[in-house]
Amino acid sequence: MKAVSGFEYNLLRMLRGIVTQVSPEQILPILAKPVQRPPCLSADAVALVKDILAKGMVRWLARHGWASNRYLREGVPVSGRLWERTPPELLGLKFSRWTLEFLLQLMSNTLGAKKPQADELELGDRLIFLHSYQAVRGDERAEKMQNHWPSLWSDGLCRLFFVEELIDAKTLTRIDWSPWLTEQGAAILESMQSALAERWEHLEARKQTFRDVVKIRQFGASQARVLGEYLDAIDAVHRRDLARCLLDAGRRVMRDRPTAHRWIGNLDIKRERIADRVLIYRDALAFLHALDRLRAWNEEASHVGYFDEGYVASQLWKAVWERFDGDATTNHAAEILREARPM
Amino acid sequence: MSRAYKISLKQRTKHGLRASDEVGTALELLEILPPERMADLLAQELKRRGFVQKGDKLLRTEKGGVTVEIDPKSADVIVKVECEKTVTIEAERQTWTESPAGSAQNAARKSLKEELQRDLQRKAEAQKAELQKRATDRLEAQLSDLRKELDQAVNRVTAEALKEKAARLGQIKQISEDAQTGSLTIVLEV
Repeated sequence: MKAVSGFEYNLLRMLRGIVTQVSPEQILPILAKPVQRPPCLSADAVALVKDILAKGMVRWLARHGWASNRYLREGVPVSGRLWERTPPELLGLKFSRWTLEFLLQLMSNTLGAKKPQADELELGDRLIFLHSYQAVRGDERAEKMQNHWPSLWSDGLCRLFFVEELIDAKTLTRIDWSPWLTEQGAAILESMQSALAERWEHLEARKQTFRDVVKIRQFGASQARVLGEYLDAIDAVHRRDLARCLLDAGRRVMRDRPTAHRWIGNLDIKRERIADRVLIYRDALAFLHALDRLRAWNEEASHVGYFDEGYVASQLWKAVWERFDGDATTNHAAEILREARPM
Repeated sequence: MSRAYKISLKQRTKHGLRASDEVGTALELLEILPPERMADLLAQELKRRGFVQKGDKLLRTEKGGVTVEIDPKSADVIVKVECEKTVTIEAERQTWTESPAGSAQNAARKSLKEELQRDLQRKAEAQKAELQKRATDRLEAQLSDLRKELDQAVNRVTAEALKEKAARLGQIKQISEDAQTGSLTIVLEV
């Protein structure tokens, strides 16, 4: 039987909560009472941390990657579940010392005392940061994480998920997309497509409640930047199939054929100049502008001939486009953008 | 018993206020003829509608000082309005002090002057906001009609371009235009 100290017991409970993504009520009480970190953890505790990560993250991946889908592998569409498209041995996540260091700092309320360099992080660490932020969202600890853990800001997947919360102030943090475009990273990104679509659908629904112009401008500017950079990044590595999340979210958002009023109707713009209204509308409709770019991609895909390079990839794109009603979605988005033009 | 001394300050300043607003768009011209010819046709149509050539651009001034500027080559449209006004702003402040002179009174006077400046600034900003609102309202009032007119102009240019294109393809036998629906039928003998 393994024996652990009180601190280690709480750390293990918190880690299990983060990995299994249970309700924050189980994690927040542990974080509410910060305890001084011990000089080191016992071998038993470290073994249990490894065990939770090994089992929990595999379970999490399986939960997101079970659906059979088609994605590109070296330019060729491959069908199947996540572990059928990518050999399981390539899906094994690595965790650096920063996962444990992050958890210790989180427990002892010393977040940011030591910070990792981007090249020191493994994909597993990045996922733990993402899950941890997800667990504390809406709580003051989320703000602490934002302020003291820069890796959240520079991680592409975190920025995609929390686009409305991780809003750059005056200086823009460089977003590193490269870890998520490696073979393993892209495979995980594939399994996150539906979750991303669902999240963005909710974000667009939330926008209609906004009245504050400054807020919508910040939100929209962040969205435009993150989505724009994401599309640039996947395009650069010939993985346009990873834009499925955007197409899926677009279909969900356009399902009830909304008008521009949904995005801009409640905004308090009476005192704004028309020149400024143009910018406000642009930011409020940032998501729809991103959809417009997919329309151009589809146009390109429809011109790729049988003997052209990228034919198979373009066929996959067209299939995905049809599956998510790309034409109806993007045409309606374009209509809304036209409607929101001042002239 | 101490006496109270009243300090009263009054200031009047002249402010030159400026407000402007603008909006840009691009006309959606179809590429029926080469771009230079399409630009010529657009320029002709705009001149017919009262636009005046100024350098590379065509300009027209609308009611309320709103100007429309169109570059026929790029089909970019800028509609802007600028307003200027000189206003005289007055503010008055008073306070009481217990000393007839000296540092206490100087400090009170200094603080009063600062408050007065803030009042003047606030009033100037309010006037500027008012002027800005007027400018934006003027621009907004023009946009809807202008949009319709520019759509009509684009339709005319498209029709003219189609006629020219048809004439190059063969002999035009019949042209029928419906001004209400905007439809154009060209019968050609090739």
